[in-house]
Amino acid sequence: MQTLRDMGYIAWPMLASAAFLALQIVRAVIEVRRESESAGANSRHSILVWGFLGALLGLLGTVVGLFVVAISVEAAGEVSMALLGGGLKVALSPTIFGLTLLTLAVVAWLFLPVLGPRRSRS
Amino acid sequence: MRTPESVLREFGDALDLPARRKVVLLRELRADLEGAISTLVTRGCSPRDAQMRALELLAPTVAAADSLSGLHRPPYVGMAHRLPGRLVRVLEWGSIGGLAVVGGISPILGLRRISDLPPWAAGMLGCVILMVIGHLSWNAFRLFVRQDTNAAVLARAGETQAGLIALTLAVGTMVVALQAYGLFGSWADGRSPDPTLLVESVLIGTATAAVVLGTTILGVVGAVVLLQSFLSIRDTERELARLLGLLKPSERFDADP
Repeated sequence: MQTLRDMGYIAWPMLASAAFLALQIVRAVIEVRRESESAGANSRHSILVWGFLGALLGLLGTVVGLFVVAISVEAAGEVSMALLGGGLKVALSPTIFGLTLLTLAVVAWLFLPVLGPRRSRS
Repeated sequence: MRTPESVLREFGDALDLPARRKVVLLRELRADLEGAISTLVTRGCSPRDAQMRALELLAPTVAAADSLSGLHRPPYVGMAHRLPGRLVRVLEWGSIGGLAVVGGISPILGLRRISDLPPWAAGMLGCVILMVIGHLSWNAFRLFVRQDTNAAVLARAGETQAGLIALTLAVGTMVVALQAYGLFGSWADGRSPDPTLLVESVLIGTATAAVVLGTTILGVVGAVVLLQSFLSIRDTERELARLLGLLKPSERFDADP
């Protein structure tokens, strides 16, 4: 929670992206289990869209974070390594969160077809 | 009454060959039939008689199709036909497993720095690399050795390959980012930034990035090969359907307007 709070404003769109991703995964699982293949495929591909959006927002958060760190260092003139390390650590957290979302999305996208219609084909 | 299309269809069904080789033989037979019909017509036969005579002369028998299949069958397919099914399956899975293990483990062994990653990070990365290499090996074997080609299956394999490339990049970048996060975290906790530790982290991060990029390049090459094969096989199947008269008139390239 602290890490999320440290991420600042970028945390909100990323959380929204995570929520939509979770919703899409649940929807795709239900559709795939019902064996409606075309509808399942649409939901499955939208999982990837939300995953990529999460990763891109994470990268954006990190770039903005690094920019803020650089501005702060420039304004302060001289800063301790502990402060700089803390800033860089916080700046990296959106990327890690975004890439976690993308990893989950890709894993779900890859393994969803295993759950569904292929059984009926064999 | 037999028509050139029905003869080509029967001959195509009797040939036990990959689609591409089938197309070559069917194209030759169709050219021979058309040539014979036009020669007979120029010699004064009616088109109907010319067609009948040409078919009597040139329509191949089932035995001829069998011997042509034996002659044109790719060597690996011929070998697989002669081996018992279970042995083929063991060989297949052995090759896939061997390729996957050798291909997946070697980058990790080659770049010793990767082993300095925390076990969970090395495990995640190793799993992804194994998945990419295993998927590629399986498809390469299916495509080039067994010549078992199906456009729909290849399209699905290409899709999975694209997903695996995304997974490689996501997991690889996350591992590098987490390394940096840990390093900056130790600075923030008040530990002095030891230059040796910094260099060590940079080395591990660079080695991880190199392995991730190598695997991504391998994945992209595989995806390109799969895409090319898909396009070529789709065209071949389309031509086969055209030769056998299975396409609707509107789908035929040589259709009269």
